[in-house]
Amino acid sequence: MELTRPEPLRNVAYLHDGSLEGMLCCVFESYVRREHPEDVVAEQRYQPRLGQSAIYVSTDYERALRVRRGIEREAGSRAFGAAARASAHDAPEAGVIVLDFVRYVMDRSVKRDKRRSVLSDEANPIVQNLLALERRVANEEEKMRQFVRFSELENGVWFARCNPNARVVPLVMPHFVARFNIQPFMIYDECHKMAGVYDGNDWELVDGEAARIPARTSEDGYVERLWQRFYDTLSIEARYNPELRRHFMPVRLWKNLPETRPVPSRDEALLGSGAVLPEVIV
Amino acid sequence: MDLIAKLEILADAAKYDVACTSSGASRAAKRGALGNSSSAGLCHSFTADGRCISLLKVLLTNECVYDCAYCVNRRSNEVLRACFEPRELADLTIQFYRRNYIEGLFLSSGVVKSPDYTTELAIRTLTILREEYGFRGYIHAKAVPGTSPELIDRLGRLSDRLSVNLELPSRKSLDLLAPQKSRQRILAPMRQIQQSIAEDAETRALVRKKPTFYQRKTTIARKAEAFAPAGQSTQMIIGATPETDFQILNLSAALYRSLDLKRVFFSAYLPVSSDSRLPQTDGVQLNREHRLYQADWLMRFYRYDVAELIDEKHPFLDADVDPKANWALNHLEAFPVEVNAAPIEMLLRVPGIGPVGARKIVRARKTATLREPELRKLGIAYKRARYFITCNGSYMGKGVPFTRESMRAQLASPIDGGRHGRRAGNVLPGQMSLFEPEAAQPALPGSEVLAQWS
Repeated sequence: MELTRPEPLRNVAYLHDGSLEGMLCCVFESYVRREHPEDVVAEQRYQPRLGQSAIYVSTDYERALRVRRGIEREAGSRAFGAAARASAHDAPEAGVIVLDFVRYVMDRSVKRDKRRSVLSDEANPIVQNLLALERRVANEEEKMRQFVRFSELENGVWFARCNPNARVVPLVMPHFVARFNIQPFMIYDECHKMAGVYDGNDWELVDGEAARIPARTSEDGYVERLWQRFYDTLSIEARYNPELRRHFMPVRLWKNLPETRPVPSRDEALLGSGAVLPEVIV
Repeated sequence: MDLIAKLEILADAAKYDVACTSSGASRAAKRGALGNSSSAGLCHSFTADGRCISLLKVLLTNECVYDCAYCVNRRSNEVLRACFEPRELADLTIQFYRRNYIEGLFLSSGVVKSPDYTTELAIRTLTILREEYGFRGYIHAKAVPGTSPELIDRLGRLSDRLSVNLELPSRKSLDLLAPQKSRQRILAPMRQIQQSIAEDAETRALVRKKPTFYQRKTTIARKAEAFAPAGQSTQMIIGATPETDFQILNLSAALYRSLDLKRVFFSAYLPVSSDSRLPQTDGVQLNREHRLYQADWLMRFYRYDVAELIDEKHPFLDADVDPKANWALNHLEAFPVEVNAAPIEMLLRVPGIGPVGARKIVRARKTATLREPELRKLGIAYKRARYFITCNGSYMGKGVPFTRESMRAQLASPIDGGRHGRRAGNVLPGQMSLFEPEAAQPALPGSEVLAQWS
């Protein structure tokens, strides 16, 4: 393949399509152009700096694969896994952290032994940054495993909506597919406009806005009210500690949690009049 | 009664049970069956008091034949009573589970008719879940003291974790507050559970063992269900009776050692009844509970012996300094330690370095010399650790004399529950009652009550 090699730019940002392959192509591009970009970000989230020129790097699977093989050859598949996971984060600095890491791993002036065991070199700032970022993504994955809530739709599909701060839906899908393999379901990420869809057999990642979603079953609303009531009941007044709750359950995730939505009055059911509880606004 | 009201009553009655962990058992997913469980556990929500909800924690029923003074469900207490049908509860669990609300079921119960009858109801619920619905999620069941061994065995094969509540930290207190429960009746099922778990582990080890070339592979005719693979736990109420921290910690150490418990939970006593045998004006001892848990963690994850943490001369844990810092301050001759050379056991003894930090240090020092910036980046609590370490020979805690008093001032960390947190420094006053109980004597300190009793 013939590569054109333009003059290196100083203050440049690489933009990609937001996928892992796009990110890896940016790494490739930085070697081709012999540049060190100031920013490597997804196009949608790009905020230009003063006097910065931006280059859109189109995604080429061949190139992405070459970068992947390169990392795996020099530092092993665990290092690639860490870089891939870290690059899923939305933070604007994520791209550069991953790029620095890949450059370090490929740097022939660093001893080969050191690069092979790069992940245990925790005193190195380049590695520290990457591991910290990987940890943030891993934490977000855990948050999704904890706080994704499904509701049953009329068409028999179980639907969940979430708003993570990293592209973690593809990372958590295996967990949900294993656990809920008896029900077709869909996890829609409203921040990244993508969905993991499981049809009862296999799962795939779908990009794009959520189409028209069918209504929930009537039983679903009832179970949700049961859950809300259960949640409210469980708290012990004498131990009230909202800081601790916010620490474990960040407020940014509350909008997709049924238990943190306002609930109809607590005593209604206890009066036993069989009064119909007002429909909760979804 | 409709389901919402029932759930509210029975969840309300169960909320004082502390254990809500879904960890310790790993059951892989199976095609066509709902659920799995992983040994790390998973919390699905957090209540306004910051405690996690990981299991659907309810009582099967809050009717009870016992009259234990500390319990909201005691017979003499006038509360609404309700009872789940086994199928109703199983359905509810499945419905919650499919929505990813919970990790499984925590089934406890008041005692209706007899312990055996109650346990049979629980078994029926769990059988529907496990056998009819093929549920592979987590189940924690309470074994009721006094249940016959055959039923406990069945219960253990259906659940991941069993627990028997010790209720109170000494026999004297138990006799006083729960006269219908005897120590023997509580310990007997605990021993049985321990033995069944041990036997189960042994058989599994035998089956797993790789046979030599000539040996035939050992196979068992029927793959027996594991007996409580996540082990057993227990809980006791702190602060309702006069036991010291020394007694409590020694008791829990003994439980870990002799009964192989996975966890001992502590629950700070909340005034839920106006019984004259109980302290009425006391605050909720949340700080004390916190320190006890800290000591508990030191025993389980930091390789401390109970005798190192507390002795008879100082029977209560220090309120201002956590037990680990306290040990370090009392053993200054062992410090400072060199982070670039010290063995991991010694790193674990440094306040501010935990198991994760210690392992990271050991890994990182292979490739680099650790100094202040590296240590800070590794994620240890450097501010605390610096008084006890040297980096490449230079002492990091300069500026503060290396004496017990001056370092103690640096390490003192009163428990701060945040702006709203009612972490028990602030005593929560007992509620004012309109109707004084007949025994309207001034509440006596627990020790005098005990002395009168015996």
